[in-house]
Amino acid sequence: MGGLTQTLLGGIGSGAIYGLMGLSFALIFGKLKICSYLNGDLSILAAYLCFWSFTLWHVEPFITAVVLCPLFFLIGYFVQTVFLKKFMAMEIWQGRYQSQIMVTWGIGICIMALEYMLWTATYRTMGVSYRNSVVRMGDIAVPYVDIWAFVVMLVVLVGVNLLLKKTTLGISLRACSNDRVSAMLSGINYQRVCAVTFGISAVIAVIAGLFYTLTSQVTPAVGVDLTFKGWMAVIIGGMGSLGGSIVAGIIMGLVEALTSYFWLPALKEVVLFVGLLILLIVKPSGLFSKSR
Amino acid sequence: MKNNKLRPYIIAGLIAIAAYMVLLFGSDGGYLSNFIVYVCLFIIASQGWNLLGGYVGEISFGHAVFWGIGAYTVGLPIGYDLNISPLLLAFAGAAVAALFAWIISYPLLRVRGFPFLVGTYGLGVVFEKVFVASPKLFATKGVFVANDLNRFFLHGMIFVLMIVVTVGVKWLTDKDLGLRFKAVRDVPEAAEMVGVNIYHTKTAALVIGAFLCGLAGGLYVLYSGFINPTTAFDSSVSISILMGPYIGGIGTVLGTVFGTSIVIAIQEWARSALPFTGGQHMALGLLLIIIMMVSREGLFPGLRKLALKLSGKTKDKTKEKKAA
Repeated sequence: MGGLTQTLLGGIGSGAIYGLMGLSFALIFGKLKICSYLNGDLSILAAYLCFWSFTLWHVEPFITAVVLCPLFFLIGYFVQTVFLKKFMAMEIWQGRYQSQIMVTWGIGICIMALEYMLWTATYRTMGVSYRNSVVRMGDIAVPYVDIWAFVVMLVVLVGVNLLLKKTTLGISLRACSNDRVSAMLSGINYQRVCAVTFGISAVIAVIAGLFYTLTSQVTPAVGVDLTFKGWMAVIIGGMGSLGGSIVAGIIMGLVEALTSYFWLPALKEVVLFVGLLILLIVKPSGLFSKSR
Repeated sequence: MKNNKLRPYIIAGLIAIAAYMVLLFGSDGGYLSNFIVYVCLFIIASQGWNLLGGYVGEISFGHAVFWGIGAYTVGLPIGYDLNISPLLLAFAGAAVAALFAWIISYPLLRVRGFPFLVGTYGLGVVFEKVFVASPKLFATKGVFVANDLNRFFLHGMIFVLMIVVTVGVKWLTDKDLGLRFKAVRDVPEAAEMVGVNIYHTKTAALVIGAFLCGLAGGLYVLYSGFINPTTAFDSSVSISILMGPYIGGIGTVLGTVFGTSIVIAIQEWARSALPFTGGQHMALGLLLIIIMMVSREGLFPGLRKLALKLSGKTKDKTKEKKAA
């Protein structure tokens, strides 16, 4: 029984990373209808930067992440203002999603290529001292990193919700989400709100990348994988509900862990995807979508 | 009127065939003719992708699945030493891919947009993992497909098929069905109001596209003589398929032909000119970003617009804008 509980806890740990990825997509897609396909690559870039500073200068990855957050906020702001701004005025059926997806995906490919050039395709493991240390509860051992991932995920979720409810930025963001034209008429700078939101989403991606590099091995191709896992969480969670994508991410982590425990680890993505197909047949709008 | 419209395509096709014959028998199957065959195969597959991605507007990141199904339908019977005609198998593979597309359309195409995109990528991952993990499907070893088909015959057939497919897609999309595709893409609500079933229209595009992709995959195996999960289902195959229409001109038939030729040429060039890992990705990614920022509809419509602008035909330009 202990083994199963252990597996479930591990699943929650990796699910927290998917939840964070899903949150970073749900924030920009659910509120502002911006489609991004580069957040996974951004988080792997952040993971590599953490890895680099740790191996070269022995800087604690958490400290690196604190430095990286403003930097990636600027990157997100830059991407939105330079590349995505001209598509924001389009109506959705005019191919706005297509353009946004292809531009961000192109940027993602370039980031991946850059990673290949700088760090090659070798799997990298960051050898921090607390990587393998665990908390013992009876015969169950929970890695510190998993607990941290879960706690930080909750903090980020609460933080984003507070940001949306309490601050001026959040209020103007929700106004843009409800009715773009009225929001612009009442003096809200729509493009700036979009850019700042994209920046925040990039920061969430950095946090996900930090925990990914602490729990798994990193290679450039993982970026696309993380992107699609994040989008999967958004779809399962109901297209843009923030809490829903977090819960969906944790469910995905649990499904993967249980597949590895009862069947083959190589087939965990297969089971996950078949589950997604079944969900789309039964409830196409996702698990936690708001009622229409 | 219709004949007038088709005539340039027919003349261009005849000239291309003549040029190709000269080239083929002049270079006796070297690097260049291999390259041309790969371009032709990817053009067939890209036309299939373009039906759904360009005309209906549902992006798929996993058309490699249909390519791979076509390839393995050819590869598996030959791997198990069954005595079936390889060309028959190639068309059977296309049919199997179309059938699979029909099945998969039920969960994926009922909701607009994202489930399809993520689902098709997931399909690619699933197929690769399953084929890698199961020894009965030859796992990572792959299948060596020996066949006694004449290579010149295959060359010619693939080239003719490419032209047939291109003209056929053009013909299909000029007809009623093509108008339905565009209506579903541009104004789904209005299309539904005049009695177009959105789901059935999308499914038609997906199934026809999957048939073409499966055909290309099967012929690829016959030509290259080897198949394994990476060459069949890897996401780089999907990228090669979907990049062509985007760069050449999404939703146009000739744009797809140009775009795919450019993409495959860049991939080949990058393999020798940028020997470090990632060079190929960098070139394609930069090209994609530049195309999307400069001329969103792709190279071919962008150039056409520019030519019209330079020749001062402002009337035609506005007409085109309305049509697009």
